[in-house]
Amino acid sequence: MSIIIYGIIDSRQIDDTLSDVVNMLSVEFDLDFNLISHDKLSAIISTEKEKTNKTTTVISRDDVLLYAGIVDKISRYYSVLPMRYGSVVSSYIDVQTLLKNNAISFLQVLNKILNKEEYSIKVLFSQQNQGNENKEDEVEQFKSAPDTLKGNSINQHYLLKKYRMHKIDENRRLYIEKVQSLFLFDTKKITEFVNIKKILSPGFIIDAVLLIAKSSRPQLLSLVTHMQYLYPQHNVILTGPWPAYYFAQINIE
Amino acid sequence: MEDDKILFIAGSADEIIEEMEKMKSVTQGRINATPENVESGLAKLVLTLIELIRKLIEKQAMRRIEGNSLTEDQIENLGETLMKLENKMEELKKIFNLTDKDLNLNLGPLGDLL
Repeated sequence: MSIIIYGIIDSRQIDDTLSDVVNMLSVEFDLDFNLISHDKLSAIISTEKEKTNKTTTVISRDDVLLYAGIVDKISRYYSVLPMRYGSVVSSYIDVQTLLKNNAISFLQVLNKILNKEEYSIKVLFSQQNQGNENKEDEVEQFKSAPDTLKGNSINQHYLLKKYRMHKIDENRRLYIEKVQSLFLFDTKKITEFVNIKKILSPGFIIDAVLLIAKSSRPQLLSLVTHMQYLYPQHNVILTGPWPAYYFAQINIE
Repeated sequence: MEDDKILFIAGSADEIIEEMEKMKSVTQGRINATPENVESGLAKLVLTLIELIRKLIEKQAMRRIEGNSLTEDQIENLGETLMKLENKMEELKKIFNLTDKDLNLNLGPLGDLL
């Protein structure tokens, strides 16, 4: 028998609606869902009988998406510590051992994410505006370039071109830092759990994840609307709520 | 991504999709050395490191230019050296059939090398 574990929840969240949720999951995903508890923790699992003559398992994108879809569905009802795809054990006792051995860290994380939701915010440069900004920058860079680069030799021309690119990069970096610090200042009013990726892909200004109280969702939406008002020249995207994938990372024993 | 997960989107949807596609293709930036292509895999790795060092030299040169600490002769020498370095890199990239995009490694959570 294979037991797939989707997530861990604090047993204190369990109420009369649990059997409805389990039934709903079973019908929607056509799997045999169940709950295994140990002390204050419960694991949401599905069981699958071992298929005969199957020596290797091929993982498909659909399998991973299905798993993520189930975890997402569970997170709509409970504050869940999401497990990674491939969390498979062979008996109910294994599940209970997992809950027992990791009880302290599981409970710590569950307390942290209780009644909270994870969101992702991305702010991107718009290529349409980028062209005009670069032209303005180039004129500015030529004016501010050191006189030693303003000669007529090929070498000076080459260095002047490099210098302009360097200044454009520097200005871009400073601009990103400014936008990020303003963003951080505003989000700290809603939550202490904010992470901004330090090294970004070239088109990005902000790539951040936040964990906020469910009740703070309207404030988050107004923050994002305000950001778009401040930076109409950029693309802003807010997605969520996601299971707490980023803020619930722990090493399992 | 499910539509109900997008709570707010503003700006050009095409550009956003383009950026997301770029993120999805980060695995292409990894060194893929196999017994069959070990030579080009190694060339890619070596040229990536040389390109990183070249960019660092360039950055350092810009700092010195900004500091106005170079004479006209030094500026001439520096320009010639950096130009030759860049031309040599272009030659090597052509020999090994590599593009600028190939000379960038994805370092997972640390981001791109260049």
